[in-house]
Amino acid sequence: METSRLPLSSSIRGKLISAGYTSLSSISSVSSTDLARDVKITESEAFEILKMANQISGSSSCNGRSSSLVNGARNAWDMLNEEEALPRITTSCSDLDKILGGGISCRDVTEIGGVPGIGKTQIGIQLSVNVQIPREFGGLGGKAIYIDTEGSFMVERALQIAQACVEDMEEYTGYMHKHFKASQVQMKPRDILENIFYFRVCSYTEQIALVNHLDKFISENKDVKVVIVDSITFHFRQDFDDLAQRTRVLSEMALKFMKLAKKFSLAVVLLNQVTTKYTEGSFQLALALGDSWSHSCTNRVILYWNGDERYAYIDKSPSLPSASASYTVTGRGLRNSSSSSKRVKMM
Amino acid sequence: MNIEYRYEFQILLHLEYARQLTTGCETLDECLRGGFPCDSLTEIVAESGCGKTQLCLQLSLCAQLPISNGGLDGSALYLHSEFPFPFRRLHQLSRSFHLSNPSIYADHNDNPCDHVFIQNVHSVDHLFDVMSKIESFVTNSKTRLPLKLIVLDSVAALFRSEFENTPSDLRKRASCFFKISGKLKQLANKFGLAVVITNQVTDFVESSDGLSGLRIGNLRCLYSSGRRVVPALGLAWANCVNSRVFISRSDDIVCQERRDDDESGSSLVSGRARRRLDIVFSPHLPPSSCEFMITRDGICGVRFFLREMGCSKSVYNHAINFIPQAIAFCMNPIHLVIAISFVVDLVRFSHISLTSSNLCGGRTRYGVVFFPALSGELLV
Repeated sequence: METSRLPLSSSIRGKLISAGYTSLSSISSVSSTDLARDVKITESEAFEILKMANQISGSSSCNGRSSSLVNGARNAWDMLNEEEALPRITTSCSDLDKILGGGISCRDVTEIGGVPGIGKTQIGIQLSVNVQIPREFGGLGGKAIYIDTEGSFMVERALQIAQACVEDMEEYTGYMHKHFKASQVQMKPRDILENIFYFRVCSYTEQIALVNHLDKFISENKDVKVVIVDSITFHFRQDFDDLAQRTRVLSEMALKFMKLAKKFSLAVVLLNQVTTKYTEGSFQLALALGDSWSHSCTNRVILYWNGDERYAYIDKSPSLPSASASYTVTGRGLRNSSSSSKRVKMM
Repeated sequence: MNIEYRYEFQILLHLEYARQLTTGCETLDECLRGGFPCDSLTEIVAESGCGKTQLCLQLSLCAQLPISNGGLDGSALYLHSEFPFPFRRLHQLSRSFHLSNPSIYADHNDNPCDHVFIQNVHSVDHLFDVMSKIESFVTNSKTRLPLKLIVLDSVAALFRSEFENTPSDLRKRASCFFKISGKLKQLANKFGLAVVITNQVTDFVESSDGLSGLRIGNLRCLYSSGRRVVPALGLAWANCVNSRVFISRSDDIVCQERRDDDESGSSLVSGRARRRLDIVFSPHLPPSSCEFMITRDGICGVRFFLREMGCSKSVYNHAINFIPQAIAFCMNPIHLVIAISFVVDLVRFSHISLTSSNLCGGRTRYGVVFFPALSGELLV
């Protein structure tokens, strides 16, 4: 028992062990206040224990690969392995998945922006359905939170996409029946809709309150694997005279999303509008909310029209090369623009 | 902190789909999948004289229909900023509405006009003022039917004069858009209202920065009366609405011929322009379109109209003669499909046979069109 190596009085040691603190790592991961409360000792005593525990664990494993002087630091190799193991949420459009490196990545905040009618809401609904594709089919088997600020979420459309998704899975089991005899498609479109938690917010105060509440909500619903905000912008384009304040509020919100994404390893997808930006005497198209906001998302995808086809373009990503791909919005949801490959890419 | 959230299935079980407000016309409803949705903001874009106001007046009346008939069992609030308000036309429509739906008013001593509230709006500030009073109006109103529809006709008229074309004014204007839309969406969500807003168009002007031609929605560019137009108020406003439909009118006349050999002797027959409704964008509708025209009794789909009127054979014969032109006029395959389905309808209802001469002009840029659905009829 590691705790016994600490130079402590036997009474305190006994209290520690009976409170469940048997290993050094379990001690060093809590704060002194928590420790004091759990073990029923004074805070200064707890602080001393923490100091000792950190010293000992630091010296005993300084040659180990996973050593860390600062709590929580990891090396890049572990992170890479972890990241590659993370599942991605397919968009149902394999061309789009390809440029996204397999889909929308979990643990990241992805911003998707485009002109009205380009299909932002469609992508949002599609993702909230696709996140529920079971693991046997290469999905995440998670749930979705859909935060609707614009009122564009239509249940009948979600149902259409969910039906198409279930049909695609059934077709897929048809092809692979030798391997997946046991795993018949259990999901019904109704189940899919049941697992989308829908919030309608009507003002920016509600939006801020909801984002603050999300941490608690997701702790209670651990299966949530994607949070979609459609759109992050809408309430912040009205009634803000003080733009500096808006920037502060927004960056605080962005930090919260970032934290959620890391803590629960879920994907956060923020849909954004476009606006015209007045630079050097002419108007340019740009995503809304200004320059400082553009730093707050890890990935940024811009949707645009190219002739009669819809295109997605990776504007910013730390890990992906910038590329563009076409997609279409069909009755069954997002698909490749060439009509030949209609089936969802599952694996 | 009390944050309400709803599970999807609760919506499904209790409300089914978002309730829709019928337009009172089969063809339009089919195109809109049931009509204008509640808890949503729909914009009607059209140049003047296309029937925006007609459609809005008709919606205000249709809101009173019982839910089983596609209405909302509610009253309408009509905010108008374009003067004068067409009271006579509303009265005319309400009379025929009353005649066709007498049962709604049978038990009560009222008529359709009692459930359409009219409020004029003459500036943006006035609109804010009015909007802040709507909530208490809804909760305190003593009327038989609850408020279920808000019409704002039109939003463009409020902004056309008040703001300059400078960046700071444009920013202020955009902030107003979002404020209006935010407030209306809030009301729509709280009381389950359908909100319909009309917007004007401006002529498309090619400019150096290239943003005026920015494509928004399903149609690459919008044409009305043969001119290229763009919806007024620009990109910022386009972000504020959930769905946008575009009404255009073409100068060809639907049934002018009836004047020469009018058999029914009705007085309805003056040159009636064909109007067309396109879905520009909408979260729940595929790109589609339909055609309609405006009669004394309101808006009526072209297909429905021909069927209802029980047109004489000569009218059909005239119509058939236009098919080659109509098909050659088709700009894209979607229009072609619509044209073909129209022809199929026409033939089915009139029981007349197409001759090969009717079809020889069916040559389009997509090749010769065949009518497989009509092969039976063609053999006659």
